[in-house]
Formats: sequence, C-alpha cells, structure tokens
Amino acid sequence: MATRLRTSELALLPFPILLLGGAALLLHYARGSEWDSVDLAAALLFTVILLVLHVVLTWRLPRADQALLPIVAALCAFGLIAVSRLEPALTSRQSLWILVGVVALLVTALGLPRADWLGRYRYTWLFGGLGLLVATMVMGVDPNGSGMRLWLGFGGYYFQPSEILKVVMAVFFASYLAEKRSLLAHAPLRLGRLTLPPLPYLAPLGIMWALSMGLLVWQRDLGAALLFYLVFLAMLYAATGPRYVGIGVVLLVLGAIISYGLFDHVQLRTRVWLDPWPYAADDAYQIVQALYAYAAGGVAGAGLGFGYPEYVPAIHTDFVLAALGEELGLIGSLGIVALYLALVHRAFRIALRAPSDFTMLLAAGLGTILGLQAFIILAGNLRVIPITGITLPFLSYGGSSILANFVMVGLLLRISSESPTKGPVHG
Amino acid sequence: MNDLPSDAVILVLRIAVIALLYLFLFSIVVLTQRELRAEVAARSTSPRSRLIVIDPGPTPHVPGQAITLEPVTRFGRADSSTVVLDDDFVSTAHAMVLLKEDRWWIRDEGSTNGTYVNGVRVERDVPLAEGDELQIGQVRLKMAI
Repeated sequence: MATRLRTSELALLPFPILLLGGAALLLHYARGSEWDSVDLAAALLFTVILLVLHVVLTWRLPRADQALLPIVAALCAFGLIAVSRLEPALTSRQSLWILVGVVALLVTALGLPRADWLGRYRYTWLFGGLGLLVATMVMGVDPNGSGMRLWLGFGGYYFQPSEILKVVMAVFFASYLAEKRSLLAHAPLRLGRLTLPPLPYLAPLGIMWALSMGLLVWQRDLGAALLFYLVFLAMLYAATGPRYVGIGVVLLVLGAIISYGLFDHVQLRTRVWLDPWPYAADDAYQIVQALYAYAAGGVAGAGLGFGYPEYVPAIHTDFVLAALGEELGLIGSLGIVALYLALVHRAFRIALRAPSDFTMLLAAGLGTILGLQAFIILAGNLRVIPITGITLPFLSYGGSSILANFVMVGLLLRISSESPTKGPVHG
Repeated sequence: MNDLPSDAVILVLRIAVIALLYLFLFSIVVLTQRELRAEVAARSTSPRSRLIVIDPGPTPHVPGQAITLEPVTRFGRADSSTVVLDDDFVSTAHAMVLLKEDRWWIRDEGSTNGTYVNGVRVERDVPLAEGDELQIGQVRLKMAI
C-alpha cells in the first residue's frame, strides 16, 4: 500500500515560504528601513499556517491532492508580498484573512459528511445565495467609493456576497446537471418536424440564470455577471458535450450587445479599451498608467520595491498585475500566470478522478471559476479585454474573495480525497 | 540607510526570487508526471489475477493450468471468445469476467445452462473473491487474485 504521508506536499511547501522570505528581504532593502515587524509576523504566521494545514491534512485527508495547497500557498505569498509592497497598512488584515480562509478551508474539507452530501441540498444553497443577493440589493453599501453597492457591512467589516454566490452557483449547477445530464444530452423535444433541445428541463436553469444575471446587471457588477455566465456555459459543456455551446455563445454576444446599449459604463469601458490614449488623463488614466508600468518593467522587471506602483489607482485590488509586471517583469508575471494554469490543471485532474457525476462537475466548475476569474482580470489589466472589476484569486487584497477561494480549495481537496484509488477514470 | 547592501546583493536576491518561482513550477510538473506514471503502472499491474483450472471437462485444458484474466475476459464456445471452451454444455457466448471499480466480477451472458459461483447460479453481476469456484458448462475454475 502506498505511503500515507504527504511527502510531495511537504517537499513543495518550502518554496512558497522561501518566496515570501526572499521577497520580504528585497522589500526591506528597497525601503532601506528597519525591519517591519508586521511583515515578519505575517511571514511567520504564514509558515505556521501552512505547516499546521499540512499536518491536519496528513492526519485527516491523507489521500487529498498534494499539489493544491503548495500552489495556493505560492499565490497567497505573492498576494502578501503585493499588499505589503502596495498598502503596508493592510498587511496584517490580509494575513488575518488568510487565517480565516484556512479555517474555512478546513471546515469545508473536514466538515462535510461526504462531498456528495452538498448536492442533496441544492435548493437550500440556491435560495440562500439568492437571499444574500437580495440582501445586498436592499442593504448593500459602498465602503470604498467604487460607485457600486456590492458589499454587506457588519461592524466595520465588509463582505461581498457575489464571491460566495459563485461557489453556491457551482454547487447548484453541478447537482442539477449531474441529475439531468442524460436527459439534457439526449432527449429531444419534437415539435412537428422540428427537433428542439429538451426545453422544459433547461427552463429551471434558464430562469435561475436570468434571475442572477438580472440582479447582477442591476447592481452593475458586470465582471461577476460575465464570470457566472461563462462558468454556467462551461459546466453545461462538461455535462452534455458540445450540444449547447453554439446557442450559449450566441446568447453571450447578444447579452454583450444589450448591455453595451443599456449601460453607460459598459460603453465607456469599451471605448477606453479600444483606444485609451484620448482619455489618458481621466477615464483611461488607470489602464494607461498600467501600460506604462509594464513598459517600465520590461522583461526582467525593476525589482521588488523599485517600481512606482503609486501611479496606478486601486492597484492592490484591481490592478495587482500592473505592480507585479513592473517589479517582477515579464518573467515574473508569466510565472504567476503559470501558477494559475497549474491550479486549473489540478482542479480538472481532480474532476477526472472524481467519485461521482456531481463531484466531477463541481470540481470542473470550481476549476473554471478560478481560471476564468484569473483570466478576466489579468486580460483586463493587459487591455486584452475591457476591464471589469473582479478580484485576482488569492492575490488581490479582499477578505470575501480570499474566503470564497479557500472554500473552493477545501471542496477540491475533499473531492480529491474521495477519488477511487485505481478505479476507472472518467472519459 | 548606512548599511544599505550593494547592488550585487539585491541582484542576487531578485534572481533568487524568480528562480524559486520557476523551480517550484518545475517541481509541480515533475510531481504531475510522477503521479501519471504511477497511475499507468497501477492500471497495468493490477489485473494479475488468474483462474486456475480444476476440472477441464471435455476441453483440452489441463487441471492446474492458469488462465490470466484480462479486464474483459469472455468465455464461450465461439472462436471469438477470449477463452474458448469447447464443451457442448457451454453456450456460444456464455459468461464474462470483468474488472469494474477495482474488483473482478462475473456476468452470465444469458447462457442456456447457467454460470455458477460456489454452486449458486449467477443472475446479475457477482463480485469474485479469492478461492471462489466457478462452473461454466462442465468446466470448473478457481479464482486466484
């Protein structure tokens, strides 16, 4: 029998810790100041958290995927470096959020009776999630002046429900599609001589999608709306094959045209995306400054602590890549993109080895969320697509985002620990 | 500011951070490759199981002979069977032994005279354990996992 120790994980974990240490040393030299005790405490806490997590996983989920935790740790290390570089005052909050996230990860990974158990209560999750969304519409606040009321506040802390909603939606879609996939994939609906897809079975999905979409668009959170829709489409594809991809893409284009017609800020962002230079002093200031930052960084980068990130507004939440691109250069940025690639690859690997249809679709959905979210914001930062304000998983500053991402990793760890040792691999 | 390190120290640190990142990515690739190899190896070595002939009946097999099982092993009188059993009491496509969820199972393929595990007729798929005795027509076999 294979060894029960998680030796591969243990061998990979020093890398994120050394990365954080090396980067902290660089920042210290760049600042030319005394040691920042907050940075030291954050690095120490980070190391302790990782080791405790490793021990708990070895004890309780020895068969869970061994690369997931190190990859997430490396991304979190870059997140801590970025926050400590860009908004030093927020470093302690960010490390506390990582601690809270790890607790949420453990509760998710160890607390579930079985991963399949989640799928049984799909309507509970769905209505819980929609309830949160409605609560945000009614009582939402805008603590940081972004012009969008997307947060719920409790006693000085703010929480963004759309972050948790994406996990809830992935669970709902996975559960619904696992049950109805053969119907959706095969059963035709005949209308005279016309053969249509089985619309009645798609209706609940469509209504649910339109509802969450409408709410999101009404709240003007277009990044989240785009993410939700693409994740929904990807999971439908994973469950039923290429049957609905064509109509899905047509609906996407239609949705893009409609929202362009309806919303001023979509028009503005598209205009700024196509040609930022005429607006470089006002509307396109952020993206133009980011482009200058990449150019200043070049291939090798200016070196951590030696760039000028203060020229890019909201850099620690929406434009982390601009800071990393300037200071770590093209080499460092590509390395970070590769980390996301490795994360998505792990999630899909877990999906292929999942013990049931529900867990397979859920793992695929979670991998899609992490990958697409990283893509949407990174591509937006690089002016490949118009900028939408969503967070870069594990890297951006932001509590609810970190919490939701850790819950997703907890689910992936749990699913991977339940995979059959040698059994069949899903096609 | 008086103990500001030289540019060389900073350069070394910068290279070290990038090198660590890429070494880490490389280690993940190596780990993935190792896992894939182990999985392929596990899949190709697990069906080491065999059926030992106890009573060959009228077939040319000999007692004590070992038949190595394949993930799908078909028994029958037809030439296309994995194991051809030339016995009048065996149907053309009689039964199959298959690897499913990491276990061996026997399935009767609607044979005339039935397939028996330890004297009990096989109705639907039956999991096989070490030492189980199979009867197909007049041929008797023993499971050796």
